[in-house]
Amino acid sequence: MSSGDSGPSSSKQLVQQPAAAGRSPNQPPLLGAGGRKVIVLKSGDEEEFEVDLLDAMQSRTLRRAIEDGCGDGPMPLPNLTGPVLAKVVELFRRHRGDPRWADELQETEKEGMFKDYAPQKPTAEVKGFDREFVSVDRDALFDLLRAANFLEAPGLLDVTCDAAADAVMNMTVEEVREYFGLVNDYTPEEEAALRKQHEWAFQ
Amino acid sequence: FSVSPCGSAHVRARHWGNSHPPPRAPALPPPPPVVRSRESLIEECHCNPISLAAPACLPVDNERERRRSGCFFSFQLDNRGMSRRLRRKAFQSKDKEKDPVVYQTAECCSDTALDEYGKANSSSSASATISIDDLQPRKRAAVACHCSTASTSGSSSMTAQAVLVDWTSLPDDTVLQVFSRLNYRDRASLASSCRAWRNIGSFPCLWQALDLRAHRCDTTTTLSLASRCSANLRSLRFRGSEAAAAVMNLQARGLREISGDFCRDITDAILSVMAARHELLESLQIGPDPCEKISSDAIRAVALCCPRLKRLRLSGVREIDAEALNALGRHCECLEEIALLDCGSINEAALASVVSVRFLSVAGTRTMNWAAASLAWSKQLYNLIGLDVSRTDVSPTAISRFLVSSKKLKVLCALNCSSLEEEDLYNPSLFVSSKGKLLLALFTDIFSGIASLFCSTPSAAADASVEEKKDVFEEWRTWNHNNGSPKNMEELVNWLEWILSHTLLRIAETNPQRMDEFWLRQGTALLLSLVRSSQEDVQERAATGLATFVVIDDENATVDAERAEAVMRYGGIPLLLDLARSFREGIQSEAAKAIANLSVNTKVAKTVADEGGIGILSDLARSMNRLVAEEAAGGLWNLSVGEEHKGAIAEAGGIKALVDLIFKWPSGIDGVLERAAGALANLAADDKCSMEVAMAGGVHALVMLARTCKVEGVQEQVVQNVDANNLRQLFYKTRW
Repeated sequence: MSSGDSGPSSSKQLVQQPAAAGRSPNQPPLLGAGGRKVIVLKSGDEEEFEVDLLDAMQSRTLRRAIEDGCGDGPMPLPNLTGPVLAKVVELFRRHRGDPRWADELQETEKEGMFKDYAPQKPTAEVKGFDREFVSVDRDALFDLLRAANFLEAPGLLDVTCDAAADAVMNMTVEEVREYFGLVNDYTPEEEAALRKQHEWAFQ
Repeated sequence: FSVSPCGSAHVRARHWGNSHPPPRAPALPPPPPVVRSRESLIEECHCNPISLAAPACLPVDNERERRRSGCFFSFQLDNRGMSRRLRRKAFQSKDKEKDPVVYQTAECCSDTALDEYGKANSSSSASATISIDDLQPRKRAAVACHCSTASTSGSSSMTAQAVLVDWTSLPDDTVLQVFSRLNYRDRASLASSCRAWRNIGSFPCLWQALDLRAHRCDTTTTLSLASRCSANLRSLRFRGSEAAAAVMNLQARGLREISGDFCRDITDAILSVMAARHELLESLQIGPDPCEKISSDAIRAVALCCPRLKRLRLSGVREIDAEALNALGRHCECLEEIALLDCGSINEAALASVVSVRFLSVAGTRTMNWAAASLAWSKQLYNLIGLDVSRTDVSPTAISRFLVSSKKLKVLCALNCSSLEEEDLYNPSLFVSSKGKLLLALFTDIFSGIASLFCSTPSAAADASVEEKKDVFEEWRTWNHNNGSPKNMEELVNWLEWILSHTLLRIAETNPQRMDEFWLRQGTALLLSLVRSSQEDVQERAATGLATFVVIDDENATVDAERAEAVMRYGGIPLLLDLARSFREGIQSEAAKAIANLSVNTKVAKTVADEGGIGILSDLARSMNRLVAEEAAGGLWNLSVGEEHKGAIAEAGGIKALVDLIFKWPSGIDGVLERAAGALANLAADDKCSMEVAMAGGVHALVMLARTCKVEGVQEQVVQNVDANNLRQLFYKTRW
């Protein structure tokens, strides 16, 4: 299990490196001083974020784009806002080595770029971060959910969907409607039928 | 009209209809702040010039909040204009249909009204609520328009935070993900809330597996489920014989897996019908409660009806005769796994005719001719890879014969077989040379044994101490992953997990003597390793095992300190708390039970409290599932013994949860009531907490219990409350 031995140490090294700064956005992804590649993500409101290439690969959408050669300039993500993207990028950084996506990565990788990469179990610290990450209000959660869906990032999707599920746990129908601001579009008859249909779940 | 990238005025104009002059930019009704993190907030304020334009009329914090929301708003509309607009439209049209008057009022509502609403909104915290009644009618309309709930009654209070997002616009996939993380009750609530989600709630992929154990499963239930399940259902779990009889109403002809527990009363007729209605069945599991009413006839019927059967697990059948076993051998050519646990007698020779079998467990069989069995099985069952003979009187000679002459055998599990253990005392080298086959017994090193199955260098595995190897199944999963998941190894380890969890739970239940060493040396670590399994039922059984093995005296609720501390030492507490937080109620209740029992030990109780267990248990006590609530209340009861935990329980809202429990299940369910009343009794002994108990309506609840409840345990707990003079005190306090 050679990859298992070298993996954790090398990814640790990555974490310890100072964040790369001051790169002009038009540069192609370069091998930085520590041998790591960065790409630039541009939010819809023209904010730019530098992300480690490895971290960006957590998103299937971004991975496809990178594999299609779109990773050279700043990658525009018009349906994500700056604050949302900032949060997402932070999560990607913290989820480095998360087995949820690292598995996929090893399947798709071509050039042996990530051969030192070994999945690590999420630590208590990461779990703490995840909890903090989703302790946002309802509408912010909505934005994160949409972002997770758009980016197709399993880790992000997991964390946000868990939070949404936690939020509605043990709610009554009325509470759910009030919480999400939903319109009751059922007729009373339909509602009665529904209640009958779902009665078993409450027994 | 065009929208300039940063022109918030334009954007706003579009938002509210451009026939009205846009009000001053800062007066936008700010949408809810989207991101809570402080860094991003500051960063944003620095980087965005718009934010600087916000008026400085609010205290710093609020202003920041406001700036942030203000500039966020403009982003939002710039960049998500498309989706935003679409949603808006949908909402407006809905609104028009529903209440055109309100919509129009909103259209022409004055800027000041909006302005004020905006202010009220931005200065109040995100979670604050305002009653709509407090607002002027026009503002009310504005709010109503703003909140897409559009409940125009005006009497309901809603969150001040304007609902700008339409949650039904979330992609189906994402909602599906949320659904899949909820139990059936919550799914029902979500599905009943609106049409869009109802459709998602009946997506076939949500109905492939059904776990009805926590629900009353009778004919009505199954009939109402039939429409959703008939075509899609593949796997079903249920509890009780009544449920077993109702299963056929699901009309799920495509069912592949059936698993039932607590089926003591299941009869030949029920089992035969179940088999006949589900011809595609691949896995049938009834147990672990003994099914004493089942005879060989039912097994023969299963063999005849389900030719695709791969796995058959039955518990506690009195006698399995040659005819039934021969039928299995003749008709079920794919039958790979047989587990006949705790049966009376099994015809050894006929079992050898099921040649397809690869994994066989006869653990706990009471009478068996081991000489004949070892002879017949090791010769004829030439596909056999795993054999489990735990908790039997298997002879050392039979074991030796299995190890020597069964060709493909890899693992032989013989835990808690007394004759073997005696033999090992006299002749410890007897089973050492096993021709590369693995023998698992109480006296062997189970961890390095299992590790040697997949680890190429067994010597390295043997060097590591138990401490390091305690997570052998986790290690296995990593190995499995790295080696491209070889199918036969995966089957073997899954089978091992299943039989080990079973055997360990049975050993924990019967609690035989002289087991201390085994539990401390490897049993505890094994259970904890199994708790991490990927198989749900293994996880649950292992958690139940943890709850059971520490209790050495049921009567006095005595918990073995060494065992409890061993669980703690191997990191079991955070693990169990994690499981208690899972969304599956089956594992929630078992984990809560384990935590509750372990918490009798004061050291463990302290760890539980330190790891945030009190909050988790208080949450679980609010569960709608009776079993979960009961175990959680038990946990709080045990924790409330410690003076230092009382305050924490009160803080976590545990008192309210306990009092609510008494009201929720007012009579007839004594387990919950006894535990809740017991916990309240302990808590009320503390001065601060007694106040809380009184405030939460505890007095009323206890008085009600004293009046209505006839069950001894509950009465005892209530009397304890009164005895300690707490009740009077409490009563006094409420009056005061």
